Amino acid sequence: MVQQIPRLEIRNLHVSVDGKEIVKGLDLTIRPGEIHALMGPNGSGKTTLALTLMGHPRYQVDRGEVFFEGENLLEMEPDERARRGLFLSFQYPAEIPGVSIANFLRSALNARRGFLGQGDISLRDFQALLKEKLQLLEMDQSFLRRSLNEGFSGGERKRHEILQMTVLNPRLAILDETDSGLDIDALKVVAGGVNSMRGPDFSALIITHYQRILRYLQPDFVHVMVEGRIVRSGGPELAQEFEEKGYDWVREELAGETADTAQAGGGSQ
Amino acid sequence: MTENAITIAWPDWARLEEESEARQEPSWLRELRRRAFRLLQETPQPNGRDGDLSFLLQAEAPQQVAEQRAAEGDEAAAGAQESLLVEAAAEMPLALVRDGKVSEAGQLVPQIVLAELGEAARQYPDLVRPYLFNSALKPGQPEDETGFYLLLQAALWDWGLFLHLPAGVQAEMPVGVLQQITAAGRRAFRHVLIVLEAGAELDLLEETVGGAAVGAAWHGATAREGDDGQGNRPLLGQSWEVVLKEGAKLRLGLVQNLAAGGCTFRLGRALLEKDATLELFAVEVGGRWSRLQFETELIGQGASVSSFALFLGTGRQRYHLDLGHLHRGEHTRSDMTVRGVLRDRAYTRFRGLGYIHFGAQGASSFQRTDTLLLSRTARADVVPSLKIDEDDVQAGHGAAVGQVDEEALFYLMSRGLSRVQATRLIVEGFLQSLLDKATVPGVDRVVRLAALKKIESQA
Repeated sequence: MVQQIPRLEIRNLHVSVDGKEIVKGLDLTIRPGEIHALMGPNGSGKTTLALTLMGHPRYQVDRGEVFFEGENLLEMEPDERARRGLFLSFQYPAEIPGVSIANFLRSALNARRGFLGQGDISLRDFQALLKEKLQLLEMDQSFLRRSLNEGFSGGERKRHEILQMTVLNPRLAILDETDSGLDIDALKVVAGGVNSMRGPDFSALIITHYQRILRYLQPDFVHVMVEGRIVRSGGPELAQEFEEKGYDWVREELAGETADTAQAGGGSQ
Repeated sequence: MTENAITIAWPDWARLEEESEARQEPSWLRELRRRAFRLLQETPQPNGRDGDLSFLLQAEAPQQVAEQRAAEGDEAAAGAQESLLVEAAAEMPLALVRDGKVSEAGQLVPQIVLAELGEAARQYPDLVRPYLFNSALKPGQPEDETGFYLLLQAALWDWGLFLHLPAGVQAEMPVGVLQQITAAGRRAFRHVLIVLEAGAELDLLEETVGGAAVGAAWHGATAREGDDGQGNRPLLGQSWEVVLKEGAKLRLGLVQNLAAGGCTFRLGRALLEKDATLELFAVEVGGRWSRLQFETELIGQGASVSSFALFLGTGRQRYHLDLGHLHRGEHTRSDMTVRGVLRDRAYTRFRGLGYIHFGAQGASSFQRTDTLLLSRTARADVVPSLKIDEDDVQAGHGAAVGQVDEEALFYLMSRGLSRVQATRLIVEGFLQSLLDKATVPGVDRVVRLAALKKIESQA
């Protein structure tokens, strides 16, 4: 059997912000069609990882490599990453007054289609596509005329991010705490949006504090990140374990381990 | 550098009088000019610092005025100048005063008196005389730079418009005015007088084009490029005098779209009686140097004004904007919203004033200014201010000058838009969110066209 090219491959990634190291040697491989969950306490570096993968200029990669479908992701500008099929659902998306969602989304979709050699989408097809996705996410048509994220409630922001994801049809989506602050109904809708995309062409990295969303998304793998590293990886049962025991437990255990392995040069695999 | 040789050589009175007679102006109008002319010679000239225009006002041979007029006619006929207004008018109903042809537009709007100002002074002296340089604008005051420019206008205006609406009449269609000055003409002075009687309503959108100089230049760098080789640069003076009687409503758009070398000083003043409403939307996109001062005096109880200004500067364009709201009546309201985008070495100086005089109880006065700088060499100097002599009022101001928000840029790029596309979208949104608040018909179209042209000029 031919070895599949991983959708995303991160090797020994070190990232700093304003001179402070946040991600400290992270390894992660996501294959086509896989859903991975990344859990961990506040400040463990999850959002830093997400923004780094998307190419935020404030985040400095000090060491390591990242490949997206075999291509060196770190050499690409954020817009090229997006056109190749990487998507980030932002925890705090920027507000952009005066720019309508419909207008913006059409430009974004055409940018992606341009990369795929598909040419611009016709207005009629675009409207049909939007209508379908709005229904899927139980959103009103009038939403499209609003300015990008301006005056959105927390729930509206999250739905809007997922709407963009379903329209742009990425090959790898990173969801940065898209579940936070959603009530159970909204959570089901958002999870439904993600599930609608599942298939061999779609992979996802779900960053979350809580196991709650994972009931609806059923990840193939769960990783726990603490202090800039993935310290545990396993199946869905791992999420359950952390939900029950909390993160302090792993911190304590980790402290012991670090003492044991410090001489060996560390770094989890 | 060979700039700022301030040698203003006046046309002599004999010549002005001759011209006035040739135009068959009534004697009271000639007297008005004479008084302004006399005061002009006693008024200190602007000192030429801070980008003052006075060095432009150099000697001009008498016969050039006639030549200038002829040339203007030619250029107007040739339709040489690109107009945003004409382009926008194709998509909206508009009674357009173009190429100086006033009567045609007047016919489109029943009951309005719309006439060339000199003509109106002859035909409707009772309507014109009480107001012309005698109401909102009074030559002789104030005794500063503005006063100097005002005297120039009152003494030298060479073409003008008079718009009058009788009580209770609402113009069915917006009036558009295309003011065109020519490359050959080195000076033009234009005055517009608008009087709306009680309850009358009018929308007026005016664009100033032309003034294509021999090039564009200002202050140093390419010192001689913008003039005709003898130190003369094209210059346009414009003034607006607005009187709104009780309950009258005017929406006024003023678009400055001069060609690259054009220089202009513009001053306007509006008087609002009880419950009158003014919406002003000033757009600055063209020219080399433009100074716009517009003051609204809220005299009557419940009068209100919203002033919007939008400026788009590239290259070495300089805009000096002064907007003032003077509250005298009780429960008067004012809002000032200013936005601008500057690139290259463009510069804008903005002064905003909200002045609540004693007695204007329950007044509210707000100001907001935002400027986007798209290059490190663009500059804005923004000073909003409030003076309050009354207790029971609401007032506030805010100003921001900054670069494009990096987080917004990153967000758009993370969806696949290039840096250029993302910047363009942010700038368009920045302008759109101002246009969303304004209601002057046609302004949104004009601004969108202007922005498009400015953005294209980047390529």
